[in-house]
Amino acid sequence: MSTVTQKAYQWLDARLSISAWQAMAEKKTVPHHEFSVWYYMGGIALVLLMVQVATGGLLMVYYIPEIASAHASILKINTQIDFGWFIRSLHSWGANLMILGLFFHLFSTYFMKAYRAPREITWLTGLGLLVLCFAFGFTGYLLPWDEMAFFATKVGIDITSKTPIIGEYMATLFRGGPEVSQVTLSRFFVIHVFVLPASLLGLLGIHLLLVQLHGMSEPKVFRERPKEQQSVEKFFPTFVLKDLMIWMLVLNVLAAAATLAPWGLGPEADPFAPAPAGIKPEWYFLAMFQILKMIPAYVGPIEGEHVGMLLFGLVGALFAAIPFLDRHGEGKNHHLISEAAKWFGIVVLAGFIIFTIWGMLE
Amino acid sequence: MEDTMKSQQPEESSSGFQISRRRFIKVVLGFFALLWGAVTTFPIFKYLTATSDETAGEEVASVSLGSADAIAKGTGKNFQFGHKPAIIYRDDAGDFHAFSAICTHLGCTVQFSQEKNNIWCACHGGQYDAASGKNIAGPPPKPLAPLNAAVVNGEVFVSRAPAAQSTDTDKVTEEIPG
Repeated sequence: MSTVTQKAYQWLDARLSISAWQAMAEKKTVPHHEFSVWYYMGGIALVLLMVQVATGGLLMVYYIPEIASAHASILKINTQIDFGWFIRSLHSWGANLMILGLFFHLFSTYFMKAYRAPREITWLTGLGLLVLCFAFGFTGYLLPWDEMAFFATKVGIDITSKTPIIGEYMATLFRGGPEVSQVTLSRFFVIHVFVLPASLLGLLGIHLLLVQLHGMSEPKVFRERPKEQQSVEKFFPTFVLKDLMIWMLVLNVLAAAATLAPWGLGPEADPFAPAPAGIKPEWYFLAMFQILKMIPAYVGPIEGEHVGMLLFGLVGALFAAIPFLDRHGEGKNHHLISEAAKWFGIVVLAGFIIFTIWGMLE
Repeated sequence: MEDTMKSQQPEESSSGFQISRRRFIKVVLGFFALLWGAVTTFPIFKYLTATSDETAGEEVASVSLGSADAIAKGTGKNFQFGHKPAIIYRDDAGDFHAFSAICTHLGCTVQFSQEKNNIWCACHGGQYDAASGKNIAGPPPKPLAPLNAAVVNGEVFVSRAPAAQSTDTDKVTEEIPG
């Protein structure tokens, strides 16, 4: 180091305690075992989130949240603005890959039982972040104002309105009136670029802080090993460098996808035209869509879509409750509960995959 | 905030008066906190739920669809009824049947399917009888809300159906007058 950089370092170190942070990062270790690969899933989602923030900001420069111009402005980004197609494709592909990454993160955490004490709040904030990301996807989908987006929003809000008591009210609040209109587009835009990012920032802060506080969760197979066989690696630089390498890989995959399969744009929405044949939601809502499609009009005295909502709500509630039900070796039934939790996860994951593929094939 | 309050309180005596004053302050503070919360939330809530005239749309009593001959027998077409989508079907006998085109399942816009010879929703595959609007297959829980179709001097007019006819579809008809 030259004297200038050395001086600069010392100046900053005196003010930011860089060496103390570095020492801490070097002391920190990450368990190294056959399931270590799952530790990188959260980081993948994080790097894709950063891409979303950057590309989202760039898209906002040309996007116009007004129903007469929204579709045209996206068309302009796609066809006339230099690299507009690339930025938009990165945003759309990035969003989808991020949700995919989050599913891997969610289920790997679930099956490694990393939600157990003391990580219950980490788990809950993670679920909250997933819900926020779904909301990002749902609100962002409408912004290009193409016909798929229009009907997806109509259906999505109608599902919201089926929530008991507050449903109709919430639907009106989202729509801003009885119809999906300019007011809806404005609201979705504000939710997408302000409300959700602000909420995400707070929740993600807590989530990451807790991950640092608790360290990586060790799976049971690792914990049961004799101490000398529990291999660990340094967080800094070993784990961080591996993380960065995976990030490079992910960014390359994203850039390749955006280049080789640029994101398209459907015809402009016509509020009075019939729903287009073959209409489908984004893949991550497809399983729910397929189930809603198959439930008959009435199941006993209850309307079909209420049964669907109840089912989805129940799965969500169980996922949120799992850290409090399936705990470290507590109670005489804990082995049974642990097994039940595992099989519940397998059934949900299998159901999700089967119904998604089914929905794609129809 | 409560904790700072407590620590600031002089702990000079432990008389009953001291405790009751603390309690009094707590209650008053709580009251003002609630009031402040309400005063802040109410305008935001009203602001967000304000319905402007733009969304209310125009109130429409009837619309003309032009010459009856323009709609072939055994076909249907979508049209705009006020600010709502609607659909008309002409049966093989030449009679017209009009309905709201809003699917009673999850609010998509339905269309006439030549192939199925009924009214069909692309979103979740719901089907309705084209002549009666009755839900016959798929997830829709109710029939389509009916509209009146009449031919006057060779021109098709669609108007709102009398409310009495549609008591069983009140949820949908509620949306029609808009």
